[in-house]
Amino acid sequence: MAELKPQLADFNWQDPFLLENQLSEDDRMLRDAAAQFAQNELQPLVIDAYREATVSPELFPKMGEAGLLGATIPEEYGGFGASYTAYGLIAREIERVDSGYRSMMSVQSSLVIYPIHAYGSEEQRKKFLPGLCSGALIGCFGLTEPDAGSDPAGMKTRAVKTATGYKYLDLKCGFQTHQSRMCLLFGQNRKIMVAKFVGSYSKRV
Amino acid sequence: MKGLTAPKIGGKLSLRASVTGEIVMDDVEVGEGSLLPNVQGLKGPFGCLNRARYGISWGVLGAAEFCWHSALQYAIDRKQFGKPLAQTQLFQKKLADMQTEISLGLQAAFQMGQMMDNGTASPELISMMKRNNCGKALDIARVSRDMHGGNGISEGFQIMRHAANLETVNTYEGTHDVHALILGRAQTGLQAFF
Repeated sequence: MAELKPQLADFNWQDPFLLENQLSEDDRMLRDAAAQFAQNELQPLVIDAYREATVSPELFPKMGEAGLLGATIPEEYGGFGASYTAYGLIAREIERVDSGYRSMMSVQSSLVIYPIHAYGSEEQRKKFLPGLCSGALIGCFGLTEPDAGSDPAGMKTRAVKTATGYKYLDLKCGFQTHQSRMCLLFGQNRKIMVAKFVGSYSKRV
Repeated sequence: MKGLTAPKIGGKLSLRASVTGEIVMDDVEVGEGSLLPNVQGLKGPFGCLNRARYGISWGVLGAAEFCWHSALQYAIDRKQFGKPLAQTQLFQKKLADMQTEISLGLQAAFQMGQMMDNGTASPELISMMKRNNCGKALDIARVSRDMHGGNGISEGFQIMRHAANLETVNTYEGTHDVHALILGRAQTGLQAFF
């Protein structure tokens, strides 16, 4: 009698779709490194850090050293050209410990490193990306305002053209750590609904 | 930078391990060289947010997996009425729901990752996955908190911290409801934002 097809295999209760087998060798390696970092470096800190609401200043350089910041951008700027699949796997391992730590990695990687790489000049890339990827420079991103959340086009902050650049009027409410040393700032320009995308930096923030 | 300060935002009951600052600008001036030259308008921030939301879709499943595995272990270890909680239908039903939603979410996140890598992922797909995985992870964390009984509120079990964090993650970078409007517009052709 002919064998009945399809044959069925044993169930893997932890990984029913056998995701593990679908990952590339590179993605698995990056995932494993992130998992090790998350469990060895982040897990021992998180309960106290959460209770006290503190961020250790060494955390960003440690994340950078572990290759968790800006992993998807090319090596010449401090990343290592990882796939987005790997980036997702890294996020999963960090957030297994804490959503806040993953948020720090996400803001730095997707909200600061990504736009400078995608929208910045070559000079800006060289100036900011290596420090951001190593964690020496902490980025922040401020789009939300007290009266503009789901409707970012309602932002009140305006960037007004001056002789040498832009001047910001009104206040912003930001996101990321107060230890940031680098900000992406947004503001309406000339009252049109188009927001100029403005990057600036500060040594003191 | 002159005029720019970033005081800490206090009073957060979620994401406490990631300190948030407020950006206060008082006549801040930047030079022309600070402008990112290769983008204009909201396309800039949305381009960033799409990448971050993609990462969130994966990330929250890590938190959900922690809550699931912890509930499972607790159910095996904790004996009430002479048997492990894991041997009750109520617990097994909850564990099966967690296992199913996490597995589906991960497989979808993986497929979206492949699409990100080959340039076929859309912002609407990212909305779908950010919305689904955050909502499911939050639900799993709340149920896991319940399954841990009184221990569920203790910091040592870590479940309540995950649940409190996921309340934020469900809201930031596009709320669960607003991402529904993106998907609603995509299929009806009618925007319902305003």
